[in-house]
Amino acid sequence: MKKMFLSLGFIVAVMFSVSAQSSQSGCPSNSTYISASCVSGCYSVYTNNGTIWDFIGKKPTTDQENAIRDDLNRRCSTFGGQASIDEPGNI
Amino acid sequence: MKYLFLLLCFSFSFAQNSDDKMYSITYLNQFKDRKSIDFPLKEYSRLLVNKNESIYQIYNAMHLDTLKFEGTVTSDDRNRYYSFNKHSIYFKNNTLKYNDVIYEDEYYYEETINHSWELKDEEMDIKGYSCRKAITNYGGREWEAWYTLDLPINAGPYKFKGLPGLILKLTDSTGSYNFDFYAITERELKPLKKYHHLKPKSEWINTTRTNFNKIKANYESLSLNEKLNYGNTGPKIKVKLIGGSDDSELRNPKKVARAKDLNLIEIDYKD
Repeated sequence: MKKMFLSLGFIVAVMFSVSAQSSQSGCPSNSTYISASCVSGCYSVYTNNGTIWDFIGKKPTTDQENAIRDDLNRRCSTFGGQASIDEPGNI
Repeated sequence: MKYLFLLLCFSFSFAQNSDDKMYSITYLNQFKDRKSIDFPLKEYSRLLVNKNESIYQIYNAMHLDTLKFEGTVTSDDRNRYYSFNKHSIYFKNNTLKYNDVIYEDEYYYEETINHSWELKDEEMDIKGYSCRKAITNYGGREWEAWYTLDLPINAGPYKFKGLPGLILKLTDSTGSYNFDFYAITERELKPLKKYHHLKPKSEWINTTRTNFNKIKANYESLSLNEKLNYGNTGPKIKVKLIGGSDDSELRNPKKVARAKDLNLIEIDYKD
Protein backbone atom coordinates (compact mmCIF):
# COMPACT_ATOMS: atom_id res chain seq x y z
CA MET A 1 0.00 0.00 0.00
CA LYS A 2 2.86 2.31 1.00
CA LYS A 3 4.63 1.44 -2.25
CA MET A 4 1.51 2.36 -4.22
CA PHE A 5 1.27 5.75 -2.51
CA LEU A 6 4.94 6.37 -3.17
CA SER A 7 4.48 5.55 -6.88
CA LEU A 8 1.41 7.77 -7.06
CA GLY A 9 3.36 10.56 -5.39
CA PHE A 10 6.16 10.14 -7.90
CA ILE A 11 3.73 10.35 -10.87
CA VAL A 12 2.08 13.47 -9.41
CA ALA A 13 5.51 15.05 -8.87
CA VAL A 14 6.54 14.29 -12.46
CA MET A 15 3.27 15.70 -13.81
CA PHE A 16 3.69 18.81 -11.68
CA SER A 17 7.25 19.32 -12.88
CA VAL A 18 6.42 19.00 -16.59
CA SER A 19 3.45 21.32 -16.29
CA ALA A 20 5.63 24.01 -14.73
CA GLN A 21 5.41 27.03 -17.01
CA SER A 22 8.56 28.16 -18.71
CA SER A 23 8.91 31.88 -18.05
CA GLN A 24 9.88 32.72 -21.65
CA SER A 25 6.98 31.36 -23.66
CA GLY A 26 4.37 30.25 -21.17
CA CYS A 27 4.81 26.65 -22.36
CA PRO A 28 5.22 23.67 -20.04
CA SER A 29 8.86 22.64 -19.70
CA ASN A 30 8.28 19.40 -21.64
CA SER A 31 7.31 21.38 -24.73
CA THR A 32 8.59 24.11 -27.04
CA TYR A 33 6.79 27.20 -28.19
CA ILE A 34 6.62 27.14 -31.98
CA SER A 35 5.19 29.98 -33.98
CA ALA A 36 4.24 29.83 -37.66
CA SER A 37 2.58 32.48 -39.79
CA CYS A 38 -1.00 31.42 -38.95
CA VAL A 39 -0.73 29.34 -35.78
CA SER A 40 1.40 28.97 -32.66
CA GLY A 41 1.51 26.78 -29.58
CA CYS A 42 3.43 24.47 -27.28
CA TYR A 43 4.46 21.24 -28.93
CA SER A 44 5.64 17.97 -27.32
CA VAL A 45 6.81 14.75 -28.90
CA TYR A 46 5.63 11.34 -27.76
CA THR A 47 7.41 8.03 -28.24
CA ASN A 48 5.88 4.60 -28.70
CA ASN A 49 7.99 2.00 -26.95
CA GLY A 50 6.51 -1.00 -28.70
CA THR A 51 3.03 -1.21 -27.25
CA ILE A 52 2.01 2.09 -25.69
CA TRP A 53 2.64 5.79 -26.26
CA ASP A 54 4.37 7.89 -23.59
CA PHE A 55 1.94 9.28 -21.04
CA ILE A 56 3.93 12.52 -20.87
CA GLY A 57 5.55 14.10 -23.89
CA LYS A 58 9.12 15.31 -24.20
CA LYS A 59 10.53 18.60 -25.38
CA PRO A 60 11.30 18.30 -29.12
CA THR A 61 14.93 18.22 -30.18
CA THR A 62 16.08 21.17 -32.32
CA ASP A 63 15.74 19.04 -35.48
CA GLN A 64 12.22 17.99 -34.47
CA GLU A 65 11.35 21.60 -33.60
CA ASN A 66 12.55 22.72 -37.04
CA ALA A 67 10.54 19.98 -38.77
CA ILE A 68 7.38 20.98 -36.86
CA ARG A 69 7.89 24.69 -37.66
CA ASP A 70 8.47 23.85 -41.32
CA ASP A 71 5.34 21.75 -41.46
CA LEU A 72 3.19 24.41 -39.78
CA ASN A 73 4.46 27.22 -42.01
CA ARG A 74 3.99 25.04 -45.05
CA ARG A 75 0.40 24.24 -44.08
CA CYS A 76 -0.28 27.89 -43.24
CA SER A 77 0.74 28.78 -46.78
CA THR A 78 -2.06 26.59 -48.17
CA PHE A 79 -4.58 28.37 -45.92
CA GLY A 80 -4.72 31.85 -47.37
CA GLY A 81 -1.07 32.61 -47.92
CA GLN A 82 1.81 33.83 -45.87
CA ALA A 83 2.11 36.57 -43.28
CA SER A 84 4.04 39.68 -44.34
CA ILE A 85 7.81 39.31 -44.31
CA ASP A 86 10.36 41.61 -42.70
CA GLU A 87 12.57 43.81 -44.85
CA PRO A 88 16.07 42.35 -44.98
CA GLY A 89 18.64 43.92 -42.67
CA ASN A 90 22.34 44.47 -43.06
CA ILE A 91 24.04 41.16 -42.24
CA MET B 1 17.43 63.01 -62.21
CA LYS B 2 18.13 61.97 -58.62
CA TYR B 3 17.96 58.32 -59.70
CA LEU B 4 20.41 58.98 -62.54
CA PHE B 5 22.83 60.72 -60.16
CA LEU B 6 22.72 57.79 -57.70
CA LEU B 7 23.23 55.37 -60.58
CA LEU B 8 26.27 57.32 -61.82
CA CYS B 9 27.72 57.45 -58.29
CA PHE B 10 27.27 53.69 -57.90
CA SER B 11 28.72 52.98 -61.36
CA PHE B 12 31.76 55.10 -60.46
CA SER B 13 32.16 53.30 -57.15
CA PHE B 14 31.81 49.98 -59.03
CA ALA B 15 34.68 50.95 -61.33
CA GLN B 16 36.77 51.80 -58.25
CA ASN B 17 35.97 48.55 -56.44
CA SER B 18 39.01 47.26 -54.59
CA ASP B 19 40.01 43.79 -53.45
CA ASP B 20 38.73 44.30 -49.89
CA LYS B 21 35.15 45.02 -50.99
CA MET B 22 32.29 42.79 -51.98
CA TYR B 23 28.80 43.31 -53.34
CA SER B 24 25.70 42.39 -51.40
CA ILE B 25 22.75 41.89 -53.71
CA THR B 26 19.26 41.26 -52.37
CA TYR B 27 16.44 39.62 -54.33
CA LEU B 28 12.79 39.13 -53.51
CA ASN B 29 11.92 35.53 -54.32
CA GLN B 30 8.30 34.65 -55.03
CA PHE B 31 7.50 31.02 -55.67
CA LYS B 32 4.82 28.35 -55.69
CA ASP B 33 6.63 25.17 -54.73
CA ARG B 34 3.27 23.42 -54.27
CA LYS B 35 0.65 23.41 -57.03
CA SER B 36 -2.11 23.86 -54.45
CA ILE B 37 -0.77 27.21 -53.22
CA ASP B 38 -3.01 30.06 -54.39
CA PHE B 39 -0.62 32.91 -53.57
CA PRO B 40 3.15 32.74 -54.10
CA LEU B 41 5.38 32.44 -51.03
CA LYS B 42 7.88 35.23 -50.49
CA GLU B 43 11.42 35.26 -49.15
CA TYR B 44 14.31 37.65 -49.53
CA SER B 45 17.57 36.12 -50.67
CA ARG B 46 21.09 37.46 -50.45
CA LEU B 47 23.95 37.07 -52.92
CA LEU B 48 27.42 38.11 -51.75
CA VAL B 49 29.93 38.45 -54.59
CA ASN B 50 33.64 39.09 -54.76
CA LYS B 51 35.25 38.64 -58.16
CA ASN B 52 34.80 34.98 -59.17
CA GLU B 53 33.47 33.86 -55.80
CA SER B 54 29.93 34.11 -54.39
CA ILE B 55 27.59 32.73 -51.76
CA TYR B 56 23.79 32.68 -52.08
CA GLN B 57 21.29 32.02 -49.28
CA ILE B 58 17.81 32.97 -48.21
CA TYR B 59 18.25 36.11 -46.11
CA ASN B 60 16.57 34.68 -42.99
CA ALA B 61 18.65 31.50 -43.20
CA MET B 62 21.82 33.59 -43.54
CA HIS B 63 20.79 35.69 -40.54
CA LEU B 64 20.04 32.62 -38.43
CA ASP B 65 23.40 31.09 -39.43
CA THR B 66 25.12 34.27 -38.22
CA LEU B 67 23.31 34.10 -34.85
CA LYS B 68 24.21 30.40 -34.50
CA PHE B 69 27.81 31.18 -35.42
CA GLU B 70 27.87 33.87 -32.71
CA GLY B 71 26.19 31.44 -30.28
CA THR B 72 23.31 33.80 -29.51
CA VAL B 73 20.40 32.08 -31.26
CA THR B 74 17.17 31.59 -29.30
CA SER B 75 13.98 29.67 -30.01
CA ASP B 76 12.31 33.03 -30.72
CA ASP B 77 14.99 33.72 -33.36
CA ARG B 78 14.18 30.37 -35.00
CA ASN B 79 10.53 31.42 -35.21
CA ARG B 80 11.32 34.95 -36.40
CA TYR B 81 13.93 34.05 -39.01
CA TYR B 82 12.10 31.09 -40.45
CA SER B 83 12.82 30.31 -44.10
CA PHE B 84 11.15 27.85 -46.44
CA ASN B 85 14.46 27.19 -48.17
CA LYS B 86 17.63 26.36 -46.25
CA HIS B 87 20.08 25.72 -49.08
CA SER B 88 23.34 27.57 -49.59
CA ILE B 89 25.09 27.83 -52.94
CA TYR B 90 28.78 28.68 -52.94
CA PHE B 91 30.31 29.41 -56.34
CA LYS B 92 33.96 29.57 -57.29
CA ASN B 93 34.28 30.20 -61.01
CA ASN B 94 31.82 27.77 -62.61
CA THR B 95 31.74 25.14 -59.88
CA LEU B 96 29.16 25.32 -57.15
CA LYS B 97 28.97 23.64 -53.77
CA TYR B 98 25.39 23.03 -52.68
CA ASN B 99 24.41 22.37 -49.05
CA ASP B 100 20.89 21.68 -47.83
CA VAL B 101 19.20 20.14 -44.83
CA ILE B 102 16.64 17.37 -44.83
CA TYR B 103 15.40 16.82 -41.27
CA GLU B 104 18.44 15.60 -39.27
CA ASP B 105 20.85 15.33 -42.20
CA GLU B 106 22.98 17.79 -44.13
CA TYR B 107 23.37 16.97 -47.81
CA TYR B 108 26.11 18.19 -50.12
CA TYR B 109 26.87 18.02 -53.81
CA GLU B 110 29.10 19.76 -56.31
CA GLU B 111 28.02 20.81 -59.77
CA THR B 112 29.66 22.49 -62.73
CA ILE B 113 27.45 25.13 -64.29
CA ASN B 114 27.68 26.09 -67.94
CA HIS B 115 24.32 27.58 -68.85
CA SER B 116 23.77 27.83 -72.56
CA TRP B 117 22.27 31.33 -72.72
CA GLU B 118 20.40 32.54 -75.79
CA LEU B 119 20.78 36.33 -75.86
CA LYS B 120 17.75 38.30 -77.05
CA ASP B 121 17.41 41.87 -78.36
CA GLU B 122 14.62 42.87 -75.98
CA GLU B 123 15.34 45.52 -73.37
CA MET B 124 13.67 46.56 -70.13
CA ASP B 125 14.40 49.07 -67.36
CA ILE B 126 14.60 47.62 -63.84
CA LYS B 127 15.05 50.10 -60.99
CA GLY B 128 16.97 52.47 -63.25
CA TYR B 129 19.20 49.79 -64.76
CA SER B 130 18.94 49.05 -68.45
CA CYS B 131 18.46 45.29 -68.85
CA ARG B 132 18.64 42.80 -71.68
CA LYS B 133 16.89 39.49 -71.99
CA ALA B 134 18.43 35.99 -72.16
CA ILE B 135 16.93 32.51 -72.07
CA THR B 136 18.23 29.15 -70.90
CA ASN B 137 17.05 25.74 -69.75
CA TYR B 138 17.98 24.28 -66.41
CA GLY B 139 16.56 21.67 -64.02
CA GLY B 140 13.69 20.81 -66.36
CA ARG B 141 12.46 24.42 -66.64
CA GLU B 142 12.90 27.21 -69.20
CA TRP B 143 14.26 30.36 -67.57
CA GLU B 144 14.08 33.99 -68.71
CA ALA B 145 16.73 36.29 -67.27
CA TRP B 146 17.12 40.07 -67.43
CA TYR B 147 20.71 41.22 -66.91
CA THR B 148 22.35 44.64 -66.90
CA LEU B 149 25.63 45.67 -68.44
CA ASP B 150 25.63 48.63 -65.99
CA LEU B 151 26.80 46.16 -63.32
CA PRO B 152 29.33 43.87 -65.04
CA ILE B 153 29.13 41.19 -62.34
CA ASN B 154 28.95 37.61 -63.57
CA ALA B 155 26.38 36.44 -61.01
CA GLY B 156 22.70 36.02 -60.31
CA PRO B 157 20.21 34.38 -57.98
CA TYR B 158 20.15 30.65 -57.21
CA LYS B 159 22.45 28.77 -59.63
CA PHE B 160 22.28 31.31 -62.44
CA LYS B 161 25.26 33.16 -63.87
CA GLY B 162 27.26 33.25 -67.10
CA LEU B 163 25.92 36.52 -68.53
CA PRO B 164 27.94 39.70 -69.19
CA GLY B 165 26.14 41.51 -66.35
CA LEU B 166 24.32 40.96 -63.11
CA ILE B 167 20.97 39.17 -63.40
CA LEU B 168 18.28 41.47 -62.00
CA LYS B 169 15.22 39.40 -62.83
CA LEU B 170 14.73 35.69 -63.34
CA THR B 171 11.47 33.86 -64.07
CA ASP B 172 10.62 30.34 -65.12
CA SER B 173 8.21 29.89 -68.03
CA THR B 174 5.39 28.58 -65.80
CA GLY B 175 5.60 31.62 -63.49
CA SER B 176 6.20 29.32 -60.50
CA TYR B 177 9.57 30.88 -59.58
CA ASN B 178 10.43 34.58 -59.70
CA PHE B 179 13.56 36.34 -58.46
CA ASP B 180 13.40 40.15 -58.51
CA PHE B 181 16.29 42.50 -57.79
CA TYR B 182 15.66 44.46 -54.59
CA ALA B 183 18.92 46.27 -53.71
CA ILE B 184 22.69 46.28 -54.14
CA THR B 185 25.28 47.65 -51.72
CA GLU B 186 29.05 47.62 -51.49
CA ARG B 187 30.39 46.06 -48.29
CA GLU B 188 33.62 45.30 -46.50
CA LEU B 189 34.88 41.92 -47.66
CA LYS B 190 34.30 39.00 -45.30
CA PRO B 191 34.87 35.30 -45.98
CA LEU B 192 32.24 34.10 -48.42
CA LYS B 193 30.98 30.96 -46.76
CA LYS B 194 28.00 29.48 -44.97
CA TYR B 195 28.54 30.48 -41.35
CA HIS B 196 26.79 27.57 -39.69
CA HIS B 197 26.33 23.95 -40.69
CA LEU B 198 23.94 21.48 -39.11
CA LYS B 199 26.66 18.81 -39.17
CA PRO B 200 30.45 18.75 -39.30
CA LYS B 201 31.79 18.24 -42.82
CA SER B 202 32.74 14.61 -42.07
CA GLU B 203 29.04 13.85 -41.52
CA TRP B 204 27.64 15.55 -44.62
CA ILE B 205 25.90 13.17 -47.00
CA ASN B 206 27.77 13.53 -50.27
CA THR B 207 25.45 12.95 -53.19
CA THR B 208 24.51 14.09 -56.70
CA ARG B 209 22.06 16.79 -57.74
CA THR B 210 19.53 14.32 -59.14
CA ASN B 211 19.74 12.00 -56.17
CA PHE B 212 19.37 14.90 -53.75
CA ASN B 213 16.26 16.16 -55.58
CA LYS B 214 14.72 12.68 -55.43
CA ILE B 215 15.37 12.47 -51.67
CA LYS B 216 13.98 15.97 -51.14
CA ALA B 217 10.83 15.23 -53.16
CA ASN B 218 10.30 12.03 -51.19
CA TYR B 219 10.71 13.83 -47.84
CA GLU B 220 8.56 16.82 -48.79
CA SER B 221 5.64 14.56 -49.66
CA LEU B 222 5.51 13.05 -46.14
CA SER B 223 3.13 14.08 -43.36
CA LEU B 224 4.66 15.69 -40.26
CA ASN B 225 4.63 12.51 -38.15
CA GLU B 226 6.16 10.61 -41.07
CA LYS B 227 8.86 13.30 -41.28
CA LEU B 228 9.62 12.98 -37.57
CA ASN B 229 10.17 9.25 -38.14
CA TYR B 230 12.22 9.78 -41.32
CA GLY B 231 15.22 7.44 -41.25
CA ASN B 232 14.21 6.31 -37.76
CA THR B 233 14.62 2.61 -37.03
CA GLY B 234 13.85 2.95 -33.31
CA PRO B 235 10.60 3.65 -31.46
CA LYS B 236 7.91 5.61 -33.32
CA ILE B 237 7.50 9.33 -32.59
CA LYS B 238 4.48 11.60 -32.90
CA VAL B 239 3.92 15.26 -32.14
CA LYS B 240 1.10 16.81 -30.14
CA LEU B 241 -0.03 20.36 -29.44
CA ILE B 242 -0.34 20.69 -25.66
CA GLY B 243 -1.20 24.39 -25.46
CA GLY B 244 -1.87 27.33 -27.73
CA SER B 245 -4.12 28.04 -30.67
CA ASP B 246 -6.02 25.13 -32.16
CA ASP B 247 -4.22 23.71 -35.19
CA SER B 248 -6.63 20.83 -35.85
CA GLU B 249 -7.62 22.37 -39.18
CA LEU B 250 -3.96 22.34 -40.16
CA ARG B 251 -3.55 18.75 -39.08
CA ASN B 252 -6.34 17.57 -41.39
CA PRO B 253 -4.60 14.75 -43.28
CA LYS B 254 -6.54 15.55 -46.45
CA LYS B 255 -4.61 18.83 -46.61
CA VAL B 256 -1.21 17.17 -46.49
CA ALA B 257 0.82 18.05 -49.55
CA ARG B 258 1.63 14.87 -51.39
CA ALA B 259 4.09 14.05 -54.12
CA LYS B 260 1.76 15.01 -56.95
CA ASP B 261 1.35 18.47 -55.44
CA LEU B 262 5.10 19.19 -55.37
CA ASN B 263 6.44 21.85 -57.71
CA LEU B 264 10.14 22.00 -56.78
CA ILE B 265 12.47 24.43 -58.52
CA GLU B 266 14.31 21.56 -60.24
CA ILE B 267 11.97 18.99 -61.74
CA ASP B 268 14.26 16.94 -63.94
CA TYR B 269 14.71 14.36 -61.15
CA LYS B 270 11.48 12.79 -62.48
CA ASP B 271 13.05 12.01 -65.88
